[in-house]
Amino acid sequence: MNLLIIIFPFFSTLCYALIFLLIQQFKKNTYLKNLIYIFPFIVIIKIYVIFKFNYFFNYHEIFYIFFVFLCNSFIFMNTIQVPISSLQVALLRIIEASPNLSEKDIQKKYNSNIVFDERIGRLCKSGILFEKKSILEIKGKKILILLKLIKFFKVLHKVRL
Amino acid sequence: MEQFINIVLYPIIYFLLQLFFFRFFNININKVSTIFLILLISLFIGTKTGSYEIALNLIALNLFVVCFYIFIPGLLNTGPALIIVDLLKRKKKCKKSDLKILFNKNMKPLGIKNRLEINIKTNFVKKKNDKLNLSKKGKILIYFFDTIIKIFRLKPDR
Repeated sequence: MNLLIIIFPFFSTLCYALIFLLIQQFKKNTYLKNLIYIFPFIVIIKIYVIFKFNYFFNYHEIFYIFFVFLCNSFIFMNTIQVPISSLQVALLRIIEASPNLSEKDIQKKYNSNIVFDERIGRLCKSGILFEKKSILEIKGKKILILLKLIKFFKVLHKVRL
Repeated sequence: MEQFINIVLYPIIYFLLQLFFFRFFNININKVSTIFLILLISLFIGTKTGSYEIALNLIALNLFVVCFYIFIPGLLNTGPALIIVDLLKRKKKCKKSDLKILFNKNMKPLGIKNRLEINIKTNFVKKKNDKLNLSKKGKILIYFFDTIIKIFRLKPDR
């Protein structure tokens, strides 16, 4: 039983990955929404399972299950997000596609103008920004919570904003 | 409450420790070597005590350390998407062309050059006679991400 409890949050993360994989087969253009909305869905299922079989778990184990699932989900979300949006990975791809480039060549190929256009496109696509007649506006307010959180940690770590 | 504290105690201690080193000595302890060191110490403590409760706490701690290893680079190098959202938050509404000018101003000190330097420092890219090429480590990383993209049918920008 103890071993089952230890692997329970890892199994939940596997379910998270599998459900995401399944949904991606049908709705691959909204990967960010898929990634975000499956998370509370799994949490609700976990709460249901824990309530249903509450006699198996003590509080320590319940906190363990949720904490580890949270950490695992964070790792999984980043694993999905990094190959799509990381600048470092984008640069590696450019170097892989055309070896022997100099730094200047790379900056010509991939500069902040290109990054801006790419990001605006993706932010609009994922419903975070809204563009009408070339005027941009924040649509989803949830991103502001993330922004505040990042700013809080930056201040805490004395990192330039 | 006590059980909750049991689980989060080690992660909180780790968080405060890395914060202390970062703020006062400018040292980032969130490294692969730290992950392995904590894993080894955890294995030692886990096998020595044989306690189920301690095992749960140590698993939580190890995963938390990995999470922080992933989180810190994003904190040190603000992503372009967050810069755009931050600029738009201040301006409420903004013309795309004006936002682009503001973005370029903000992106310059953090931008591509910085990321390229990180890639060279972390040995993902080899620099020889001013020419850049992927190292073996970089090729493995790209292969790993390509596999993720194929499996999950993702659409990267490039």
